Amino acid sequence: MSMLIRRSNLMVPVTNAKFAAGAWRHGADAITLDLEDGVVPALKAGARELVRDAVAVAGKGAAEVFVRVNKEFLVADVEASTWPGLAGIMLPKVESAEDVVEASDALTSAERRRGIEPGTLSLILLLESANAVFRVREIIAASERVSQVGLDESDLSASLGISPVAEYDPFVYARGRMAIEATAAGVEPIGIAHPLGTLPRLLSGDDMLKVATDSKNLGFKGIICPHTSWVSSVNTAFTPTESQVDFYTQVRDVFAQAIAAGTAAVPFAGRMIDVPVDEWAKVVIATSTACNLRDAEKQTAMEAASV
Amino acid sequence: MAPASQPERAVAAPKSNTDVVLLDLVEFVAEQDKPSAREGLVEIVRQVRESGTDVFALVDSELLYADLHACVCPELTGVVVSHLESVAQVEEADSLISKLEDERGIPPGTLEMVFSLDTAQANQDAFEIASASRRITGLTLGRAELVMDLRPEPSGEIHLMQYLMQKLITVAGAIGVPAYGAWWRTPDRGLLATPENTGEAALRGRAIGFKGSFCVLENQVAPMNQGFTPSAQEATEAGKLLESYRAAVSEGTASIRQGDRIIDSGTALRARLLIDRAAACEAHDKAKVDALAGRPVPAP
Repeated sequence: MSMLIRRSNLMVPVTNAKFAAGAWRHGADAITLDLEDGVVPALKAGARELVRDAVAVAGKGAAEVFVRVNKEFLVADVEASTWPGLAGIMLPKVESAEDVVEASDALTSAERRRGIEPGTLSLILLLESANAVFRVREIIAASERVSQVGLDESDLSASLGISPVAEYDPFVYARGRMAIEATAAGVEPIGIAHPLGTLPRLLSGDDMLKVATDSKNLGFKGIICPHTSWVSSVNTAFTPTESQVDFYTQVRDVFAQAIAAGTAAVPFAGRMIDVPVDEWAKVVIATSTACNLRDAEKQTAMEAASV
Repeated sequence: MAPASQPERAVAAPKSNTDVVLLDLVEFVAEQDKPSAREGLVEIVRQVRESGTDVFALVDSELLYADLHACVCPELTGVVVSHLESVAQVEEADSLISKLEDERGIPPGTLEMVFSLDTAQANQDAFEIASASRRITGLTLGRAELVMDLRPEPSGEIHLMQYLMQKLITVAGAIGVPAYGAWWRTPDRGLLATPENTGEAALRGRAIGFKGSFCVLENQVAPMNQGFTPSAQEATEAGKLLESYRAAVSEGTASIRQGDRIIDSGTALRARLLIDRAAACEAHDKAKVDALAGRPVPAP
């Protein structure tokens, strides 16, 4: 099974014609066209009419294209979104396993009607309440379609009556619980280090790279980007560096020689290399390869689309 | 918190402007003083209640029968049950309170319970315990760091408490009740916490989702209330933010920039909730002043 590389997921309101038309140019691994909180209530109905064309445009640079649906208008939004080129939907305000099953059933039905291969549309889940954080295990397990799960920290803090401040991270437990449960279930946890989850802002490239790297180090596999300026730093942070790949390539050689010499633990460059390190080396190298392939695929598509 | 064995302190407690007087039968009452403290407790509850303040009693899950018989009366708002460890204990407390409500002319199901989950077992089973009674109106960790023997780091932070506090807040949120506590750093807390440090513990507590906490000295009440109340500046800024956001929405945009900040619907919702909370705190403070002055107070 190929490795999922969905480091950056750029969120754009489908009603913002300029953003929706230009989103593909920013190199995001995924683009999510928002029908939910990014669209004002008065424009919701009209927004659905825009999705079909927007999906096609957003996919021009080989990004996976998702649509964030309104939970209360699930069926109508899924119906409006399920066109060839769609990778899946982002389901917000998930409270229970039943919510996930309902969304999955809506996708199954839409796949059948639109001639899309059954079971191929994916789900990204957003947890926005303490109840959802507490029930994360059963929520994730409710459908094979679930590929990623994240906290909507802004809405979660509203739900808990928290006025967040940068100095004190309110979601150490929630993020940790979700990351562990998701990883155990083979689903990718996504999210961002405090305080950008509750207090999103624009940062310089270096500062954004640091926050994105901190996020990777929390166990996350990608970040939903509310602004195009986040994308490049996020992609870089979640891609192994050349020096990491060099180091772990050497680790693999050193460890193979050690095994041939009859030992499974050997010192190298000040570190002890044993089975877990060799296993991690495989992950880093495979991730690097997959990221490079994904970047090349996007680059080719973007160049072709630009002509 | 006022020791049930010191009636004068308990009866004077509302003058500190506290939201609740918690009559303590557990922490600050010596074992040999408990029988006499229980004897006069109902009268103290009535006297405190006359000032308009909510009155709770802190009772011991292992001495439930004696403690509940001593405090349950129509003037009592509820009980904080300490050292809860199991669903069975919750059911026992709930059933005993129901019986006492029936015997003492209290409308059934009206006495509240706040659970103090201060043992490792209680925190392990927090969700099940908290779900076991419909009377529950709050959760707290009580004196978990003492009960669980959690030692501070050199910085004063009790490392595991951050995990326990945030888990408690999550469980409380999942059940739909507030979590009570403050983010203390040793050696603060209890008799040692200065007003300044109490205010900081309250601010940290509010920033992670607590809604209020416990004081053992009168001079801790004002900074505790202040720390858990949105400041005038916060409310003003929230008002401005909400105004800008609403103007943007009326023009068809649901996400705006303020300087380098990204303002979305979640930010706007939080601003509205903060304004509501500030107004509710203000109304509650006014009601307390009116009650102390003997003026009629409208029902909440």
